[in-house]
Amino acid sequence: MYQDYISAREMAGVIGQPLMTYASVISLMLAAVSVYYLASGKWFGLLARLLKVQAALLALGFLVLVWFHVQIYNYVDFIERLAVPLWIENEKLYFWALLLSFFALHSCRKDSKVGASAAIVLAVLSTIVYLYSNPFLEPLPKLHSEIIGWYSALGTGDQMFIQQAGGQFYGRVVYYYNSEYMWLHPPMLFIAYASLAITFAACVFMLVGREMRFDEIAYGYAKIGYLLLTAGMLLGYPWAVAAWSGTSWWWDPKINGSIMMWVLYSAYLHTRIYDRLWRLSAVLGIVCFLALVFTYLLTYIAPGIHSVAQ
Amino acid sequence: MKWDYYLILITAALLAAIGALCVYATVIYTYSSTPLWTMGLEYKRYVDEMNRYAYLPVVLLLIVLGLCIPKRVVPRVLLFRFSAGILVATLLLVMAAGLETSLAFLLGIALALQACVLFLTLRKSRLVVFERRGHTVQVGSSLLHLGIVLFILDFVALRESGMHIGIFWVSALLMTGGIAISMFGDKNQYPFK
Repeated sequence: MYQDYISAREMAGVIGQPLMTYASVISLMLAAVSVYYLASGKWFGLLARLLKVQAALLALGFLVLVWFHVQIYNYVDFIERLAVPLWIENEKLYFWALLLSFFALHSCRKDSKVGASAAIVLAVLSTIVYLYSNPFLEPLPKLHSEIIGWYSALGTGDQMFIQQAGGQFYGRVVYYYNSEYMWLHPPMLFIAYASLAITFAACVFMLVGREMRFDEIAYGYAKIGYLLLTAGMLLGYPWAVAAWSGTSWWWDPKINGSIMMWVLYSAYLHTRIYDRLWRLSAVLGIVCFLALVFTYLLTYIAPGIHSVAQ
Repeated sequence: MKWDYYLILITAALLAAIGALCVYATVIYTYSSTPLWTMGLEYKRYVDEMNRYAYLPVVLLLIVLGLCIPKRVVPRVLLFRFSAGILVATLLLVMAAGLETSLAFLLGIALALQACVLFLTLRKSRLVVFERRGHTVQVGSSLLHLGIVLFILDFVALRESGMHIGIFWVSALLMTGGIAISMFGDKNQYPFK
């Protein structure tokens, strides 16, 4: 069983890495064509085709990740099966990029300029994924080291050691890897992030182009984003109460960041009520997205209780 | 210019102030020089300090929320006097019974007010006035604001109660349902020109 898991992990890298490389090449082309389109108004057809190819490559890569997770479920022999969600560790940013590719494609139908800007954001995100958070280069390193640790403990035959290692891993499995909240809380937030990236692009155009149609587009995506952001954040609370009972998590950096992001989006939606506040509304839409990126990065730059979950 | 416009600006400013406080808290948390400080008394002091800082914008937000919607239920002057009275009573309660009790008092009043607003909105009463038009939008907005007040009340006064998680789910449903109904029932992009 252990060997089957190791083989599956290697196979995920062998199949996924070329896909990721192609996606990064397409990203560069996408960025170049998008900039050219915004400057000249030409090559939108090519841009749309590249966006479709990028979305297809990322979707294929995601299927490889699904397959790898199924193999983990089948082959890792622990007290209970590991139903590991598809958006942990170095897969998180990849999942965000995948969702953004779909939203970028959708936004092209609404407005070609917003679509082109979303494509630039996607290109930047895909490049970051390739360079810093490539899920195929070393699939799930933290989980892998925990699985290795568990099998090493089993290999010693020392019952005390096995119980100790199993107890530690079991806590992680129950409250993190196999938690039903992991199937709701993170994906809802990532769909919100992808949707709000389009709001950001539209707000930039609203500020620069001063055309109200960009505000309508921004609001259209903000509605989806805000709903999922709220629901996703709320769903995290009962989970936090259960998993972090007795630990210090009030005013934790990630929670601070999430509240900051939510109140800023609330402020954005309030300012939208008056059209004379359109400039403030557009600025807030941009600031909100920067706050969103900052909140995402807080896990890494300001470690707190959320960082333990990484 | 209509006072609704200023109330919206004040609401946005108060929300931004809470956002700024979150950034400040993150900086304090990150640059704490003591290792493993979250295990000890220093962490408790930090939480208490941040709660104290959050108190003012939350109280003002609740007061503004009380001013925003039921402005036709009672004459404006009376509404201002009522709000000022509530604010003074809340501040007096801070000295007499502490931050949490005074906030719970204010939240109790806000909850009753929002429940009245929801009731009147459901009855399509002309007494309440919203920035946004359309009955569906108004019902959604009332549900959302009622949910927010209940959510904060649950945190402030019922954190140790056995009903805490149950009330949390009710407030979560009100908030998400309210957002869904108010936003997706909204056809007007700019209700107030």
